[in-house]
Amino acid sequence: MELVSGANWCRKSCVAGTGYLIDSCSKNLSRERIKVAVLGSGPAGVAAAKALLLHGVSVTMLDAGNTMPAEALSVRDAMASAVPDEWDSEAVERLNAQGLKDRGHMPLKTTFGSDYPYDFDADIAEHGASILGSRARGGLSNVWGASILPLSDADIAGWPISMADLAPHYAAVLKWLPHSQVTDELSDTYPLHSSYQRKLGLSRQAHALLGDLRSSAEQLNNSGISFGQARLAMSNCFYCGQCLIGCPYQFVYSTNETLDDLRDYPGFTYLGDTLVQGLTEHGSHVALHVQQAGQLRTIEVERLFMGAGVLGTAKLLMPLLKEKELLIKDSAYSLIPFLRYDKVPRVEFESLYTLPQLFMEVNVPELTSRNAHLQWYSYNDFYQQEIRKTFGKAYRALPTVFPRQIIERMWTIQGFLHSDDSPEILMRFDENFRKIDLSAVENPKTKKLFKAVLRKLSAMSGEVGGRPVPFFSRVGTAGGGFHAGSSFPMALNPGRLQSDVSGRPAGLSRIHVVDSSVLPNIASSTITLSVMANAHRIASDYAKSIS
Amino acid sequence: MQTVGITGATGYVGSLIERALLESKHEVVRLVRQPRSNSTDRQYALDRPLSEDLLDGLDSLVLCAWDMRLTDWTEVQAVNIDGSNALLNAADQGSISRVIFISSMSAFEKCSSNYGRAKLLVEERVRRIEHGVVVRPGLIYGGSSGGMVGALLGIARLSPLLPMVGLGNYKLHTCHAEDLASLVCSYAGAATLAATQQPVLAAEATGRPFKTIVRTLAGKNLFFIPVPWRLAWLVLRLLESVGIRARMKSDSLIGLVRSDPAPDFSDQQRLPVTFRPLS
Repeated sequence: MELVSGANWCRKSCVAGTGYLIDSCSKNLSRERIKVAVLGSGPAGVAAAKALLLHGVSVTMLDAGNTMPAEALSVRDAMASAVPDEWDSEAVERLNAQGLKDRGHMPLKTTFGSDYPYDFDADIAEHGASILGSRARGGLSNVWGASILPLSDADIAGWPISMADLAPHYAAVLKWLPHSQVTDELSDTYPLHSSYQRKLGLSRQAHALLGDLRSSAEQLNNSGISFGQARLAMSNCFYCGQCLIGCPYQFVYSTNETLDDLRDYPGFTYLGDTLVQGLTEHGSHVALHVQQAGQLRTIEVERLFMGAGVLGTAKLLMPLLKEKELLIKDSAYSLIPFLRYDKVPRVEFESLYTLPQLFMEVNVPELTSRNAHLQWYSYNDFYQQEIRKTFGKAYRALPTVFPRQIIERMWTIQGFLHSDDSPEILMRFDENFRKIDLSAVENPKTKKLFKAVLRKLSAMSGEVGGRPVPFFSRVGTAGGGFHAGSSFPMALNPGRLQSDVSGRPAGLSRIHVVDSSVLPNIASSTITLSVMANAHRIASDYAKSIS
Repeated sequence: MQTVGITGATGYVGSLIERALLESKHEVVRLVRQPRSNSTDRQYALDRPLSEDLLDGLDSLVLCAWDMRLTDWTEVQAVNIDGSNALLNAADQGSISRVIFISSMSAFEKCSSNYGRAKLLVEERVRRIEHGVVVRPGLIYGGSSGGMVGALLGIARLSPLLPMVGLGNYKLHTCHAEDLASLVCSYAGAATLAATQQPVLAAEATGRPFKTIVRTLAGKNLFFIPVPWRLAWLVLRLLESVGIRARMKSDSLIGLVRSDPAPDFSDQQRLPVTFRPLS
């Protein structure tokens, strides 16, 4: 890191359009010059940083870097110091009781009882749409569902990059991203991009369902349904059933794991407690106006890779581009309860993981050419809570056999649609870029398509061995599924609010956006692995260009 | 000829592998807690920091070291897992061309023994090493049998009556120690032999009831006295809780009665070694 000047730097100005007033004249303030910086420590940030470091490019990572509160950390550490059989069951029950928080009418995951990953500094008014940002070290990967599925050839058709461009970067990321996946019915459409195969132990419910699906594979395929075992970013599993409140052993990947690895590279510098308040691009550098450990300062960066997440990136780029309105694409999601005809006894005592067990792709050609992606969750302890909540006071009057009959048959399907079939989110900034207004731009296809998926599952009830429960199905608000982006989509000839294939928004030359903001659209299948591969691609291409 | 470092060389499996490596004309460097004088031994222990030059000059590294006495998970983590990972990290950063980790068939998805779980955790670190190989031996016999088999055969030599956990019908896959050593030699000695990212199951593909295995190895007819496994487990746990260590640990008992119900031997044809059937 090169110190340009510092001691006598004195300035009072308003950074153009940002509303960020630098009012400082202090010997404490310094201007530093960094060659290459990565903003954010989430999936995009660490993938870009790793690619740069592997190519010998030194990287400084700027990160707000909030860490897990001490109380949650002590719970996690206490659990991690023992095997699941030795845990204090009452403490685990207490943790489960505060495991999911209500977000509108959809549940929001926490981690060891804390919602610190969602802490974000923005004044946002939501109108039927929401996007969450993060200031956590590791970003929203701290509460990630860990599902990894790459894009299919059909998904990437129409993008300014091809699968040949992206595939090597899926493979490169999967060299260090822990993953559990096997060759199965989905592999032809969604390649594994990794020779390592690890088959997680399915729950008994999943084993039975997968068996039924396989025995009717031909009929299901003919009706546009394909399926396979869920692919997850998990290094290991003790099958303790606590995935949704946080894995005490940190087997479920969060980018904190990669951050720890990055620290072993001599060229890596991590600047935590660094909150970027605004930025400006100049001929030779990008000036980042940051608040670092309570101090305001400016950091000059010759090349910036932005992985601040769709909200953080928009918040910084819109003032710079002097734009007030931005359209963000989203993958609509819904929660669909599903009841199997055959029960699996004593599911609540089973050793299992509670992330998705199976993936299913459903094609409804009369409505869309895009697949709906379904993630099938078998039993978890929250099912009992949900049933209690659903029946309210009547629950106590029910014979105990009743909830048991439900629980032993119950699945939850988390369904996602392609952004072509989903609402969009209109983001508006006020004059000073201080307030953000989010509103949904409904897509008439969304509800029709979810209903069609339900109908298709019902029509194939014999093959799937059960039926969805439409009455209790819920469609989330726009942005609620965490699969939003495409706000500065890559294009071959980028126009206003578009980026080139290196993630540089039109008009900017030193800022590469590497998060989901630059994806041309949002596939229904999972987003994070593709974001990481694309970030790796952009950073690798840059590193090669300067070598 | 390769220079092969080996940990756990004073143990049952490690010593057999060391001998096989020497017979294959490899130079062997023992990484041991107490190096012999006037030898190429280097000082190493799972629970101690690594010396900087520990892996200098080694072409391959075989990890057999594992402290089987530990029962408390935090100790298992600190010694066996962290200790193994520290060595693997050093091997990954150095110029070693092949790393072989001796795991166990007790390590499989949904295994419930702490031994199996801990081995799985180290396996994951090996997987990230480009030339890392995980070998999962089955129930090892042969040579001067050690471990659980050795203990049971010791009793069988004295008496035709043998306590048996449960009915002894749980199936295990056996691995002759010489075959295991030969497999490890193949990987350690031939840098050209492709590493596999999948764990290598080192055992006969046919599973046999445990009591059949014991009877066959003892070479005589035995009468088994069934002991309910949960009762046996409880007794062992009680003994462990007051600091008494029996020859069998409660955790080993879990590994025995809850072995992998469906190990995948589909890749075994590609291995450079054939595992002999138990006879």
